[in-house]
Amino acid sequence: VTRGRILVVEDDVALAALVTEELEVAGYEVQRATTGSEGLGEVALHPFDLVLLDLNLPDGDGLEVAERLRDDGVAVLMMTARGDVESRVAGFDAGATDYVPKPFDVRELLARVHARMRERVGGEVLERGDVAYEVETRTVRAAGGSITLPPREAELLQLLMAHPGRVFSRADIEHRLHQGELPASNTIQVHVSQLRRRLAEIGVRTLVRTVRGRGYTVP
Amino acid sequence: MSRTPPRRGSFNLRTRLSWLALATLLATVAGLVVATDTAFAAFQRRELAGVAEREVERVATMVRSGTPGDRFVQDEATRLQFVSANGEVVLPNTGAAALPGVDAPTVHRTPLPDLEGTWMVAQRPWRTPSGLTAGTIRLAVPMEAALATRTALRRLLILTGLAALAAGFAISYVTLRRALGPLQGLARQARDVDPADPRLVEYGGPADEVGVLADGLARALDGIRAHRDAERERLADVAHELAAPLTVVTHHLRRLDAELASDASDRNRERLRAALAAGDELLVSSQDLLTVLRGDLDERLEWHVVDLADVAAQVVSAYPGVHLNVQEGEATAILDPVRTRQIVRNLVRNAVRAAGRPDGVRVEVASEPDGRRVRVVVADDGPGLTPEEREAMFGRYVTGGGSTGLGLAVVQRLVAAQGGRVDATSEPGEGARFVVSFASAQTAWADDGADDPGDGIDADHADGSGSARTG
Repeated sequence: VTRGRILVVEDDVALAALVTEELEVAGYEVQRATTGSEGLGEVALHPFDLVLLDLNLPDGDGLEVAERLRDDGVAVLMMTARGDVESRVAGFDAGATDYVPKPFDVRELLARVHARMRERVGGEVLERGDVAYEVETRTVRAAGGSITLPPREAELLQLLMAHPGRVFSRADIEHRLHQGELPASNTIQVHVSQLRRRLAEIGVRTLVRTVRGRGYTVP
Repeated sequence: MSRTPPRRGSFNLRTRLSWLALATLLATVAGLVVATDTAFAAFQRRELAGVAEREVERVATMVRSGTPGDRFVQDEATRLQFVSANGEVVLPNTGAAALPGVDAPTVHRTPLPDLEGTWMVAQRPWRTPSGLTAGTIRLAVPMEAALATRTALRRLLILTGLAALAAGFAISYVTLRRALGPLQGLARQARDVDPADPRLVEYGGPADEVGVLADGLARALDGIRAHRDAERERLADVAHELAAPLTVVTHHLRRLDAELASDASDRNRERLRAALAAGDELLVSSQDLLTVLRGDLDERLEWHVVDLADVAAQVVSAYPGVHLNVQEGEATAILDPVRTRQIVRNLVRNAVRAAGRPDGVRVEVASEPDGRRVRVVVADDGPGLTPEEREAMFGRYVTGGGSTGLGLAVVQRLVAAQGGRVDATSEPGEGARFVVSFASAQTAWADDGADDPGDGIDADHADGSGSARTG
């Protein structure tokens, strides 16, 4: 049983080999592609949980590939030169897609992949302190009992618990959870407040925190 | 290349040009006054001489034609003398009396009136009706009135000249001021141009020579900026090209190090570790270089709850021997973990270099007693801050103080981008002490019933203004 399927689209063969090796050691099943079109072809043939995408590809702009993958609902983690995303793509929703700036430390890349996979793959239990969240059943267990969350709040909690300590702005969350459709401006706020109320019922009061001027986090 | 800056308070262009204008005006006015006065005087003499000549001619004709009893001249002011051949004044005539119709006139021994000086004199031979030449007729027209007119004119000329001078000076001063004012503004702008971002503030003056100069300057700066940006971009590409294979090299070395644990000889392991350390160092430098080269772009920061003690421990683990002291109390802040690690790592690396050995470096993590700020202190017992380090920390731009300058410039930028503060102190012989501080996570929580972070739509962009600066 693998921890998930990952496609690595990278034209630098040595770098691709290295990343593949590390991901395989970490327990993932990995496919490789060296061009954008090859990558899109692979995605059309096989399901992947995550695509690691280099933005500088020999057959054109990696961003187009990223956008097509995102439209297909495939999670993308971009690998790119520092500052490239901002400089090259004014209109690109960087919030919807994480990126790892090159040069990266492989350990850092792995940490990103793990967090991203926790967010995507079910059948897992996310834990923080004495709170455990079972992804498949949308159940939160704590000292004060357990509770099953409705889908939207469950997605929100899964996102926050998959990236402990990371602060997500409302825009980030909207991009991730609503992929494309535009929710009302206060939707996220409403979800957070409902999620907090439900968690409080089982005695969990400081799991989801608001960071002034930044967003929400599970510290 | 060193230049002597212009002395302040010395003659400036405006004053010099005003003086020049004043001198020109003065010369012109003086010339005009003198020329007008001279011409007028000549004109007056010519006129008066004409009058005198005509009068004396008329008198001579009257005498010759013998019309006794007639008045010779009507004007009381005109003087008339009949001087005999032997020089005696026969009739000092005031013009009112008639000449007696005699051939041998009576001699009146009255003194000669002074006909020089302020009189215009003309003379004719004195011929009697019988054709004898009895002497000379002299006629004098007074010049007082003419001289008074001339004096009045001269005074008027001088007064008008002075007024023109004052007006001319004022006009030239104001004109020059208006013309050169924009030049001064332009000079100020040029002096204040930020070498890190060479551009002119909009020039609002007229499209005159100064406007053309401003335009030329702005174009030159635009060119410089474009050229520099292109160079930076090229350099960033090169740094990036170098970093990619370096990632592979260091990674394989690290794996090799892990896998050869027991098989390799101590010497080989040492070699491997040295190669790995060098590779890591190169990677770090390339990251710093990319941060500085592409740092002008609004880099996306990823906010996390970051424990400074963890960051310091991670960094210090790569520099065995460095002392780490974590004080009681939580030292967390909302920061970008990768950039924060880069900050602390650069400070520690810099301190180890300055001290010459790791155990001369002390890293301390603490939070303020009221818990509102958290800080990392990196101190070394080296020779203290160098001018390059100072420039990198507090200068407006990197002047190229080598890798040290680069590392500290990165610290300065990344701290500022995350809304923090960095201070450096140095006592001679006591080493240097860098203090990086941020608003603590405690000040960022907004849990008291608030579900709205107030992050707006741009909250995911790093504007560095999110966390409050205190002190």
